[in-house]
Parts: sequence; structure tokens; C-alpha cells
Amino acid sequence: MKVIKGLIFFRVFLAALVLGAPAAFSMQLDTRPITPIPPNPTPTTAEQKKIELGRKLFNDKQLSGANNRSCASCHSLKTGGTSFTPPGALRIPPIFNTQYNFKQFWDARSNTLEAAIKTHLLAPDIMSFNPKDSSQNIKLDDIVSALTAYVKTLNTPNSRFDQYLLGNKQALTETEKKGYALFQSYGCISCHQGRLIGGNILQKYGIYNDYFKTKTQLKNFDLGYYNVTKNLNDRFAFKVPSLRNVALTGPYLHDSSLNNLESVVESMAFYQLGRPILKDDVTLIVQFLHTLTGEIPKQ
Amino acid sequence: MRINYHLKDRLIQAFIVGILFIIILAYYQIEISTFPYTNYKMAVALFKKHDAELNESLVLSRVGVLKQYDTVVAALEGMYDTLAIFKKELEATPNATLSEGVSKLEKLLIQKDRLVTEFKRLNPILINATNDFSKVMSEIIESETQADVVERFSIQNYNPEHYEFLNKLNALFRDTLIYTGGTQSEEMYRTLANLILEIKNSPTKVDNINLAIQYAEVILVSKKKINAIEAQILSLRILSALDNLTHLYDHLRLEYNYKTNAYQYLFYILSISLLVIVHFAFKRLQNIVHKLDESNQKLEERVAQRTQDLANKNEDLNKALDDLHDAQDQLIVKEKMASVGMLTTGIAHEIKNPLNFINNFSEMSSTLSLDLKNLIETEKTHLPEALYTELQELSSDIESNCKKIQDYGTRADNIVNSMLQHSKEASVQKENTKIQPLVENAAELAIHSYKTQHPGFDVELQTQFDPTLKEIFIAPQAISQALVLILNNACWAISEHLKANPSLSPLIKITTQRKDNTAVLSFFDNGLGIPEKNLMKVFEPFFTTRPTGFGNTGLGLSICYDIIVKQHKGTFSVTSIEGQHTEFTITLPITHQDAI
Repeated sequence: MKVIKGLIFFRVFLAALVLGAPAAFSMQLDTRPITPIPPNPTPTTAEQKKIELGRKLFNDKQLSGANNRSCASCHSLKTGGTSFTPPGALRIPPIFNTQYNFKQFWDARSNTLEAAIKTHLLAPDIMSFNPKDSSQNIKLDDIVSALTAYVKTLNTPNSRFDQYLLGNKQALTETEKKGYALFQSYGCISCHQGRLIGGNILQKYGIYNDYFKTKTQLKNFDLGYYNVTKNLNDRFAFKVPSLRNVALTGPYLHDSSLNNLESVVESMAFYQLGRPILKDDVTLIVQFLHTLTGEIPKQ
Repeated sequence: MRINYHLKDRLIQAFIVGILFIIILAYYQIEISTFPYTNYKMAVALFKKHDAELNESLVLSRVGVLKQYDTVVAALEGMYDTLAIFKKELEATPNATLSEGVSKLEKLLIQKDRLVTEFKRLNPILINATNDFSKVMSEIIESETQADVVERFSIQNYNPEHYEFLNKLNALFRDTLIYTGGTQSEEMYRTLANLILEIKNSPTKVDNINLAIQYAEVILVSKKKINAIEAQILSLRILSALDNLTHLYDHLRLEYNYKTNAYQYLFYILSISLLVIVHFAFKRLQNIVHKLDESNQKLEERVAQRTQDLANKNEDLNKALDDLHDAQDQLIVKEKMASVGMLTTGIAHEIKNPLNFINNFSEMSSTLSLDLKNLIETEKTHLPEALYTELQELSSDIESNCKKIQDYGTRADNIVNSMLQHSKEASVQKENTKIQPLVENAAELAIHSYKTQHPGFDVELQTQFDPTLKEIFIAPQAISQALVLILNNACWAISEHLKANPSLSPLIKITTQRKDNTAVLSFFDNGLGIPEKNLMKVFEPFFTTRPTGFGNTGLGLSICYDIIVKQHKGTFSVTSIEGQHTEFTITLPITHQDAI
């Protein structure tokens, strides 16, 4: 039986090898590692109203239990869709392009944007929204629906890198192009790929070296995906964050431990690629990362 | 048990409504309620498509053709969305077996999701490690090979251990790459593990060898894990679960079709039976209407009949009213006659006495005047001539005066006697009398007497007697008197008529006839006739058209009336045409009982 299974997989494998590329085209798969953020669709009038309501709710402090914070308090559009967190605290992920994340939160605990927003609203340490406090006219699900519609419009298309991907070879400087080449050759691209340049897989932080060994005090959120599955294999596994607008969204890493991109690139090379990286290459890669900043939506 | 008609109708109504209800229900089942899981084929196809895309993406990612996982994510999302279609339909129409099949599919999908997540985590590590391993190894081998070439030229420096080490590195490089290429041999894994251990433990060291070994170890471990994951993914029988689910859906679909067909037959059968029922109901209604029409017609006929009856009755009533009027007239006449009779009788009594004195003393005076005359004759001589003559004249005058007193007194006496007969008649004894001789005698008497008084008068008498009429219960003298009076009148009328019309052949016709219990006697004459205005008056006393004197008192017919109507409870009537004829008709009850 096992032999047969093996045979089947072998055949599939061979077929994939032979037919791989044409098959990918036939499926209309984009074989590029990174694809551009699509432009926002034009909303209908009804959708526009819903989005407008979502925008108001997004900025409304009444949504929090203590009336002291709104969604925008943490996910400020002016600061890359996130805001400052002190080192050691769980990093607030940027709100931009978040609909393209395959799951939400660092530990991927929510499968959909709606679930994530609902979780945010109800979580005692985030919004601590009490549905019973609100007027009877407004249901939690309606609030979530409106907020979701609004958040889905918070995309950052048309970055210089996207322009490059769309065929404008002049959009990147030579050094930036070199940076992209290094980004690929070092293997960053293996995890930071797709539309969001991340955001579609989970990865353990500390493949070649144990990051958490050096930490003096482990926090619950450091366990990552384990908190969802309770599987030991999933300890320290996090959603690979999107690198879009990464130049705007420091401090970095899930625990806000690093303040500049150079140190992050070095940290990644050390823990995730298992080898030293040249200072010059870090500079080039960081230059490339700056090209990922798109058009930030206005308030 | 008898069911009353009302209840029966209600039951039929309820039956029809029931059939209608079932028809609507069947129609609902056929046309309106569709198969609840309409989307299952599409969903199964979609699920298969997404599964195929997922598998393809995984394989392409594995070999590095596909460099990103958005497609994997999209395929998984597609599978979850498709699963939601199944679930939504199931939520709308729950079904235990289907739920089981779908939840089985869901479990498989969640397992696959977990495995894919793990695959996505390991695959970049493996790819990066393989790349880095290749780079590091090629660098090592390149530099060491150059060293080797140098060493070969200086034999004394030749180190066989180093040479063997290099061979081992070569083997590691080659075998690892082959291993990552897809072979899942456990043997190869062990060989490689041993090789890595040997190189690690080897006293010979080269630059970057630890890095290479680190990558080789990662490759070995992650490749093994990925192999395991791939094996697990392959063992997930999503397609067979889908086929099973399809089978379940198909089965339900068949059942649904069978049910729908059954309902269709039911629908047709019931519709036809309803038509039949309505047809018969209509027929019945027609019959009822027909019957109603008939009874209506009958009713109309009856009403017409009744109306006719009423009209007849009305006519009868009118006739009765007329009769009543006649009777009233007769009654008035009767009353009048009665009162007049009473009066005449009373007057007669009062007059009779003085009249007796007048008659007696006038007779005596007449005798005395005769005596006086005789005395005068005797004393003629003793008397002067003149006196004698004068006395003679005076006595003659007295005599003639007495004679006149006597005449008129006698006449008055006759009248009074006649009048008195009114009162006398009641006492006349009735007896059964043969009518024919009575009538013949009366006719003989009357006509003969009239002939004697009026010489030259003659009249033909015709009689016609009903043989069945023999005896009637009457007072014979009274009736005879009445008949004589009537016939006397007839004779007079004829003689008067003869004066006006001498060519007339005088005729008196007497007929008797039995009519039920009455005898009808009629007296016809072709005399002068009575004018119409006098017809009602003829029975009144003292009414007469004949010249007075000659024994005529004007009481004749009045007396007749008394006799016939009062004494005998009969009727007495007259018909006449002036100048042609007169007919008096008498009816008399035949029997004693009737007479009373």
C-alpha cells in the first residue's frame, strides 16, 4: 500500500516537474514571488454608506468600554496603520492591506477579518466593548460589518515596487534593484512572498538559532501559534508579517524589540537563515524595503 | 343510521375542500418546493477544483516553480467557502446522513489545512536550506579542490584522510541534493545521517563546514517532515469523501424525484377526480334547478286554479248578493203587503158595523118608502091633485134615494167583506187536495161567470197537467178563490185587448208542473198585458186599472197574494209584456211538512 502511495506521489511529482511551468500558466498562477496590491474597487452607493459608517465607527471612542480609545487610536492611518509600542510589548500589526492576510493576529487566531474585528471589539485588553451597553438599534454584527467594509478599503497600492512589478523598470533605482536581488538570493523571499510580501504562511521564529533562549522573560504571546493549536511543534510560530509599508511600521518583530530595519534584517539572517549577512547587503535590502511603501489612504 | 341532508352536504363540502387542499399540497411539492440541495453538484465540482488547485500549488511550491503561497491560501479559502455552501443548504434543510458526510469532509479539510500550514512553514526552510547548502558546499568544494590540485603536485603533503574527507563531502553534496529531489528512501536518510555524523566527527576540518552540516541537518529533518506531511496529505481521502457525499446527494435527489413523481400522479388523479365530482355536483345542481322549475310551474298552476276558484266564488257571491237583493225586495213587498193587509182588516172591522146600520136602515127606508107610495095611492082620492103629484114625486125620490143607498152600501159591504177575508184566511183548514179538478173547477167557474156577465165574450182554454203532480197540501177553497180571481183578471184583460184588437184569438193557457217538492202553476193569457211600471204594484191592495164598480174592489190580487204567500208559504210572481201577454206563476209546496 505504501509503495502504491509512493508511486502515485512520484508520478505526480514527475508530472509536476515536466508540466510544472505550463500547468502554472494554464491555471493562470502568478509564478512571480511577489504580486502587486490590486487597486481598490469602486464601491456602490450602498457600500459607500456602509464604508462611511465604518469610517465613523473606526474613529469613534464610544466603541471602547471606557470610551477612551477608538480603532484609530492604535491603528492610526498617519503612522502606517499602527502606533508605537514599547520594547517587549506585543507589536500592533498595521491595519493596511490586512484583508489579504490569510489569517489575522500574530498567532493567526482568527481566520477572517470579521472574526478579527469582533475579537478586537470584545477583547478586554483591546476595546472591551460591551454589546449590552450600546443602543438596541445597533447590533454588534452590524458594527463589525461596517468596520470590515471600511478596513477593506484601507489598502496601500501603487508602491514604487508595485510600479516596478507592473512593468515600470524605472520605478526602482539600481541599488534598490540590487537590494531586491539580494532579498531573493538570501532567501527572504521564501517566506516574504505573495501580494503582501508575507502574511500568507506561518513560520517559527528561530529556525537556526533559538531567539527565545536569549529572552529573560517569556510572555504568553511569545508562544505564538501554540496558543491556538496547543501543539508543541507550533511553539514560537508566528504569521510571517507583511513587509508592505515596512519602513513606516517600526518598532519591529512581534515583541517590538527592534527599532530599525537594518537590525531586523540582520536578526532575520541570523535566526531564520542561519548565516551572517554582509553590512553592505543589509543596506541594499533596507533600501529595497523602502520601495514597498504604497499610497497611504487619507483619514 | 340516517344522515340528514345538511350534514351530508357539509361532508361533501369538506371532502372537496380536503381534495383541493391535497391538490395544492401536491402542487407545492411538484412545482414550488424544489430539491433543497440544488447546488450540491456545483459545490462538489468546486470543491474538487479547489482541491486540485491546492494539490497542484503544493507540488509546484515544493519544486520551487511556484514561489508564493497566495494560490495555496486562495485554494484553501475556496474549499472553505464551498464547504459553507454545503453547510448553508444543510442548515436550511437538515439531514443527518448528509451532515455526517459534510462534517467528515470538514474534518478532512481542517486536517488538510493544518498539514498545508505545516507544509508552508517547512517548505521555505527546506528551499532556503537547500540553496544555502548548495552555495556553501560549492564554495567549500571549489576551494578544497583547488587545494587538492596544489597538494597533488607536492606528493609529500598528500593526505589520504583529507582526500577521503573530500570524497565524503562530495557524497554528502550529491546525496543530499538527490534526497531533496524527491526520493523518500529511509535507507538514504540513514546513509545521509551517518555521513553527516562522520563528517562532523572527522578530525579534518575545512572552512564553513559547520554551516554546511547545519544546513544538511536542517534539510534532512525538514525533508523528512515534509515527506511525512505529503504522505499524510495523500492519505486524506478528500475525493472519496466527496464521492461519498455525491452519492448521498444523488440518493436524496432520486428519492426526491420519486416523491415528486408520486405527488405528480396524486396531483393528476385528484385533479381528475375533483373534475368528476364537480361534474356530478353540477349535474345534481341542474336537476335541482329543473325540479325547482317544475314545482314553480305547478305552484303557478295552483295559484291560477285558486284564482279561478276565487273568481268563481266571487261570482257566486255576487249572484248571492243579487239574490239577496231580490229577496230583500220581496221581503219589502211582503212586509208592505202584510202591513197593508193588517190595516185593511182593521178598517174593515170598524167600517162593517156602521155599514150594517146604513144597509139595514136603507133597506127598511126603502120598504117604508114603498109603504108610503102605496099609502099615497090609496089616499089619492082624499088628496088634492097637486099634493098627490107632489107626494108621488117625493116618495119616488125617497125610493130611488134608498135604492142608491142600498146599492152603494152593498158595494161597500162587499169591499169590507173582501177586506175581512185577509183575517179570515188564517183559519182555513189545509188538506191534501187533488190539484187537477181544483184547477179545472176554478177555470170553469171564472170563465163561465165572466161569460154570463159579458155576453158575447169567448175564450179558448188550454190546459196542460203534469201527471206526476197529483195531490198537494193546501186549503182548497182559498186556493180556488185565488185562481178564480186570477182568471177573472185574465178574462178582463183579454176582453179589453179584444176591444183594441178584435182579430185576436183569445187564449188562456194553464199548466201545472212538478218541480222538486213544489207544484208550479202558471196562468197565461194573451190579454192587454201590464205596463212594466205597474208590475211591482199589482199585488198592492186597492191598486187597479179596471174601472171601479161592477164588483171591482182593487183587492183581488192582493187577496191572492195573501192566500198563496202568507197562508201557503208559496211564491206568487208575474211576468208580462204590455200589449201581448201576461203570465202569473204560483209555486206551492207539495208536502205537509214543507207547508209547515
